[in-house]
Amino acid sequence: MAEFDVDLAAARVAEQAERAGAEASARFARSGPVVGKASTDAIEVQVAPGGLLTGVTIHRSALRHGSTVIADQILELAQRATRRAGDKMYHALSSVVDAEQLETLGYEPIPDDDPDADTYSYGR
Amino acid sequence: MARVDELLASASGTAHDLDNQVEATVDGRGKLLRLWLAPSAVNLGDRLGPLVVEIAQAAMREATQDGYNKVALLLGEDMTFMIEQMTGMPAPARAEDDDPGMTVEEFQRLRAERLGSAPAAPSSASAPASSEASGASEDEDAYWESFDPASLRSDR
Repeated sequence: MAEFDVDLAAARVAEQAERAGAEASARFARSGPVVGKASTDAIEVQVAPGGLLTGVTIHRSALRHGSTVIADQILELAQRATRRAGDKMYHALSSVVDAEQLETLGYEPIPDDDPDADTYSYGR
Repeated sequence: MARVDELLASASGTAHDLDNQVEATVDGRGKLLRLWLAPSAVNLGDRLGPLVVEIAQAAMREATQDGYNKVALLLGEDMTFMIEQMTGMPAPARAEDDDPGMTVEEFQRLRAERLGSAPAAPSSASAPASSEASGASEDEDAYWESFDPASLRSDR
């Protein structure tokens, strides 16, 4: 069995990543940092690709609903924002990176008729 | 490599604030999995939102460390360090200001303190230790042969 050359493999991965990274950063330079946002009347949530919270704004009117309701709403909004950030990442990177790899990273497109889609307006 | 993805995806981290008003759990990529707010958290007013973000980010550091801990068990320290370099995301435990935990000496000193006057030197009886050990393992075998797992049931 051929010996697995760790250094070579690492160099190859690094080179691939660098190439994809250069193209991706050119894209992001045009579009600005990718974020996902979701909000209700009283709570706004913003996440980074992957879903890490980067901003939560809770208006005073939401506070009277109590902590459990607020926590549930933030969780729900965070999940929607995460899907939206994943959708943006998918569209930004799909020409540079395999769709399968993007899905492994959790970046999947949201169908237009999905209630989580940014463009979804049916019934609103 | 697929196994590494799987391990990193299964990582999670939980953090809470000092007053135990906010507790968040996130996965290895930072996605919020659980959020708990104490009833008193609503009294924080405008500060609640930023606090939730701060706790989620602390949980993310825990999740990152958890992921690397799992990968290190599979691939070893060197490969894990290489992955950290490639991802550009060093394990939080490597941070300069990370709590270094306790040293072996400190652990042994605290243990000795905890045990107080309990027999402190089993090593002084090292000569008969081997025969004792084999006797002990026989006892243990006999114990496990007659062990009834049903005795662990909580309804008995």
